[in-house]
Amino acid sequence: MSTDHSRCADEELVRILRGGDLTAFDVLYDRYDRRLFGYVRRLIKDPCAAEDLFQEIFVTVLRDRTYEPDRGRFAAWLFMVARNRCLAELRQRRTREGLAEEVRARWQPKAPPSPERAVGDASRVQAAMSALPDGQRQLILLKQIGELTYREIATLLGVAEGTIKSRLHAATVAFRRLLSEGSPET
Amino acid sequence: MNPEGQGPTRRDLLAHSPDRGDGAAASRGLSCSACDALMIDHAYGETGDDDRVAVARHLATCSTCALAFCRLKADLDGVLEATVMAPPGALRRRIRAEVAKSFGPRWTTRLLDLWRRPVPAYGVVFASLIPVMIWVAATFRPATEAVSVEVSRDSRPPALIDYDSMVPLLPEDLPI
Ligand SMILES: [Zn+2]
Repeated sequence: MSTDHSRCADEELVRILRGGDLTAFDVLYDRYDRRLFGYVRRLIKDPCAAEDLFQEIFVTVLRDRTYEPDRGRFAAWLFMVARNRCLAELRQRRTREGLAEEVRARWQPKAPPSPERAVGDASRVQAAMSALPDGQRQLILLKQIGELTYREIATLLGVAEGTIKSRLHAATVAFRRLLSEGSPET
Repeated sequence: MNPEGQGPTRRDLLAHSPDRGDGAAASRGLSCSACDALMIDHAYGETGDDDRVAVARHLATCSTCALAFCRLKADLDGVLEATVMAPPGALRRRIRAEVAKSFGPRWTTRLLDLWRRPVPAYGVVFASLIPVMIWVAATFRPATEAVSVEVSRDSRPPALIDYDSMVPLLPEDLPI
């Protein structure tokens, strides 16, 4: 069946997919593949592990019947699963490999930024994001990449909405300061 | 921002206290400092209806805040641009195959799809002829079967009826 689902809401697409129409999967995948993969890659540096995790998250989210489209946004569910899986993976890796490598990578001196780099340059943004504490980076990623609302992030993290708002404000200010000054290593 | 970190209250925001902005903007209902306090929420799309209108109105009239807001948006958009990344094409195929195992079309859906498939005009004509063909077959088949049975029985040579080569010959049947 060649039905055009491109205008359907995510939640409707999940229902259609559960009815057996795989074209709904194609639309959902096209909507989220770059954002979700970017999110996972930002947290999991190993490309192969990130690919496996991306696949696992997508399949888990779509197969899991405990998600009810009537009760919450698909994006929030997707990024909640993604965050939890990435954190679990990071915990495992840290236990396995120890913190030494990460600490060394973080404090390794980097070349000073070249003056011709434009404002908003991807590498500068990435450097600023990397220099943020984990919690602040997570908040900005969930907001900007996951497009979650304050309320959805609050539910996900189990804290008050106002707390998320103030933390996200602080994270945004810190990120912009790092962006304008350069990361602490430079 | 209040001590609880909940951001400025609505009364704070609407107070005319242009401590660093221009008076013209303040006279339109929102001071520059109030606008600044709401700017991050506005960039994240988290302002309520009233605040959204107030900030938009202020940004339309205050070049200082408009420039600050553009910079903020550019920085935040930079996060999106620097983060999104296309996964390898092979991943899509793998994931689709996995999902298809759980949600592939059921036989009822496939049958329904077959039913809904467009039928060409000659198909309709052919379908309308099916009852006629069945009627013809039903009308002529019994007569032809009876005739054929009759013919087959009559065509057997009498000498060969009940003949069995394995049965030993009786004395009277032995050749002389
Ligand atoms: Zn202003």
